[in-house]
Amino acid sequence: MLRPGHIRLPKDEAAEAKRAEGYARKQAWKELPGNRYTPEELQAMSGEFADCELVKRRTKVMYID
Amino acid sequence: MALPKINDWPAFRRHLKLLSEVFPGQFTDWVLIGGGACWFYRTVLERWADVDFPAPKFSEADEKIWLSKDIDFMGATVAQAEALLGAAFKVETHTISFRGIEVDFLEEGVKLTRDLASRNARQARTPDFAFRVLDAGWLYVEKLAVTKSKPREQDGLHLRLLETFLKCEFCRDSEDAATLDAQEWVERAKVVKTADHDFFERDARLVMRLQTSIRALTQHEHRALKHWAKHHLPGYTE
Repeated sequence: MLRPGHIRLPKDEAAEAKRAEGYARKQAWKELPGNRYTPEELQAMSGEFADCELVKRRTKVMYID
Repeated sequence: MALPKINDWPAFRRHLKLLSEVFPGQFTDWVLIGGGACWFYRTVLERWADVDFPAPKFSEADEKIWLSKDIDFMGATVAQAEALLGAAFKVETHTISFRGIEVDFLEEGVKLTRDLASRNARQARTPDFAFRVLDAGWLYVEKLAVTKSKPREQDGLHLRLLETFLKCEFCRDSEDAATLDAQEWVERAKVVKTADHDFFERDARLVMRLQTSIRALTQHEHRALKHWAKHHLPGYTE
């Protein structure tokens, strides 16, 4: 069953250690060559959302159950 | 393990579009977070080209670490994402591979929960697809919290960008009375100020522009913003 979105994950020591491990692995992966956009690639992408409209009002979600 | 190249030229937007096309029913529940969301706000800030709050200039060294090629979302659990994307969560990258894109679904941040992210997402619409992105205020709150517990160089860059973006947006919104939603403005200001107590006090350009724009508001529905300014904006008087 899906854990409700407002319930936080367990904060015990083992769970925190497991999350910290995952975090460290992900950061290590980011550091590997090719896993970050280069300055030239960022420059090329800089206008890619030029036609995008950012809707100011947040979507109101109505929960019915 | 480097990412496979799916095209000659990388494009963050193309990846979002692909996900929206393949998962039309689920994509609208996902909220873009992390560096990708910061990148989106950076492109918006560059487009605004505001005189007081231009997009920060980043050095070549900064640009090299600015954005990684994985895309982070909130809005599904890892198990749901595995089932949907038809691939296993990779422990070594903390992502799921999908057609050359590395996708991660964060179940929780330092401050964020899935519920908070969903309630504080904003819709970004391009002519060919739409996506949800975490509100810049909450992104700033989360990045501030992350930098306090796990300092990373790229988070400092993202924070600089988000701080400038928020200052600019607070000003632009308050200067456009026709579209201003005062309640939403104040709500976002409270979120930012709770995490960063002197956000509205340390930049004279921000203070002056807000003083001018809020003082100029005359409509009854904007009174919440005027009330906020009396208590939180240095030197504000009617």
